[in-house]
Amino acid sequence: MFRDITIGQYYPVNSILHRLDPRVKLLGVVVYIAAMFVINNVYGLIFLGASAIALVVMSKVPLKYILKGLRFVWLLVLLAVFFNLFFSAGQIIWQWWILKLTYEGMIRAAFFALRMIFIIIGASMLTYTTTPTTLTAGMEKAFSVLKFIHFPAHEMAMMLSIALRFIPILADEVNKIIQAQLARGADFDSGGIFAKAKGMIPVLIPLFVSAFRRASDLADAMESRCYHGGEGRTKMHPLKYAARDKAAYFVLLAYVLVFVGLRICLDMFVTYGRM
Amino acid sequence: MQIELKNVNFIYNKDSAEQVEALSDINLTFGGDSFIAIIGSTGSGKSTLIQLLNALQKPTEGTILWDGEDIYALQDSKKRIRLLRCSVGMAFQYPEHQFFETEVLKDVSFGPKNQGHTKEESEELAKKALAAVGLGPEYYEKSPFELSGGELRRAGIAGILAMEPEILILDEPTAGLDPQGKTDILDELKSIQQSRHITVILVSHSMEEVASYADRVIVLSSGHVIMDGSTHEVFSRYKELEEVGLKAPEVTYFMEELAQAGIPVNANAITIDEALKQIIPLI
Repeated sequence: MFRDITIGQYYPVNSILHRLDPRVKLLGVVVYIAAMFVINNVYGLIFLGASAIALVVMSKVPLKYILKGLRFVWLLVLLAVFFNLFFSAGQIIWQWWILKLTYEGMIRAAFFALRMIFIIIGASMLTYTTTPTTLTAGMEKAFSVLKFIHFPAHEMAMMLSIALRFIPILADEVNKIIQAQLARGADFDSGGIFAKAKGMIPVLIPLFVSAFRRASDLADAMESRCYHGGEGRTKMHPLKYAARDKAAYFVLLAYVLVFVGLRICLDMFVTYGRM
Repeated sequence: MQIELKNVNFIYNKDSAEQVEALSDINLTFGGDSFIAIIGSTGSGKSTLIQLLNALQKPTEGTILWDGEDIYALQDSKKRIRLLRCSVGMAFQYPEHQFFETEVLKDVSFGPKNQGHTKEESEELAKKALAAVGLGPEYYEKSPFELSGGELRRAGIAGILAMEPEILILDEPTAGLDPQGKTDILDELKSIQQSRHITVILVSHSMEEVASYADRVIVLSSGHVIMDGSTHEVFSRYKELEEVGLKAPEVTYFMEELAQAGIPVNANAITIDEALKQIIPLI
């Protein structure tokens, strides 16, 4: 049921994206997501879609693997599409009960779905191409700009990367628990929504228990290897920018200029006439 | 109940890059009043095999007949699979995966309740099952989290026993227990098997356990059944067992060395008791 979860995982191949410094990639994701919200026209969307495809090609991560990662967000996307489709104001094409299909709604729904899918693909490119260790190091650096308000940069970065690392472990655990309860005649399929929700209790409780147990075991294992947080900790491979990282920063800058440009163009377009 | 596997193959992630053939061409019959052990090195397909037996996994190819019926071919197969899982009980290695109630008794009666018994009947069955694994009334109202590892393991097995299965499958029920705990659980299982006349299928890595409790042994190696016979038969071929990463019980090697040293004993002893029967008359 929850086999081979790929979202948030690392995919070990050697590509230009894999070799980039994690800080560049982190900034890249931030820029990409920001662009997603700044852009409000079709040209911008095409541009963002094209850059997502370019990233995927550059990363050498198989498309099939990436699409597998989207499996769990389809429901979310469908739900958002549904609400945008039928509950938007505008020119009504078809109407039934409280559902109104409007021309504007269709456009908004399409926009929304693509936006969400591109964001998820863009963000997962970060985890697909960055090992947990370098990702932690990168996040730590990124968070350390907040050090002046005593933000626990190292701890936060460590927690995030452990959380990512535990996704497949917990998914595996869910499978085992489901099997153990199925073997005791548990029924997850029949009944209404409430019966089904109640049927999940025998899975959720052991899962929580085991998550806490694992967390405590992990903490013991870390402490027994003298882990004591970020204070005074040195690195075996400190992050160092290479030429390609500097080049990547320029690409990002150019990218920002392009999407801001696209936005301004459209605004001018609207001000001076049609649409 | 009788389970018959015919030319069964099982492949994980079929038609993908990570395709793994876990079982190939398995032909086996389980059932009757017997204590069966499945042995094999890690990755030999033991876990997959036992999951096929109570329909937690569906064979990729081949058929499995439960009392002569191919459940997957039936129209109401979903419902039948659920019923089947009640008569083919499976106790997993980590019972902590199944406890979710606040009290041991409530948790153990989860299985019988799913079978459709009333609350009273379920608790009666649960009490019987708990008694069979040596947990008395003082445990009924304890939280599962208060139990020790061994007690938890027993309570987990009781959760399956309470459903009164005709075939009981156990995946390494003694892993991680202390020596006394191991013998206790196995003694209890043996006596349950003999008093209820059911089939117990045990997956184990301990050759000593297998030698003292099982009456039939199935040996798996990279997805194939390479031996299937009485415990003595299988362990007498220990040279072959060694080739697939297994061994005979220690005592067999001891007897073999004695025999090689010219002492008139036979290396076919697989338990300490059998060895003693040969050695004591010599002293």
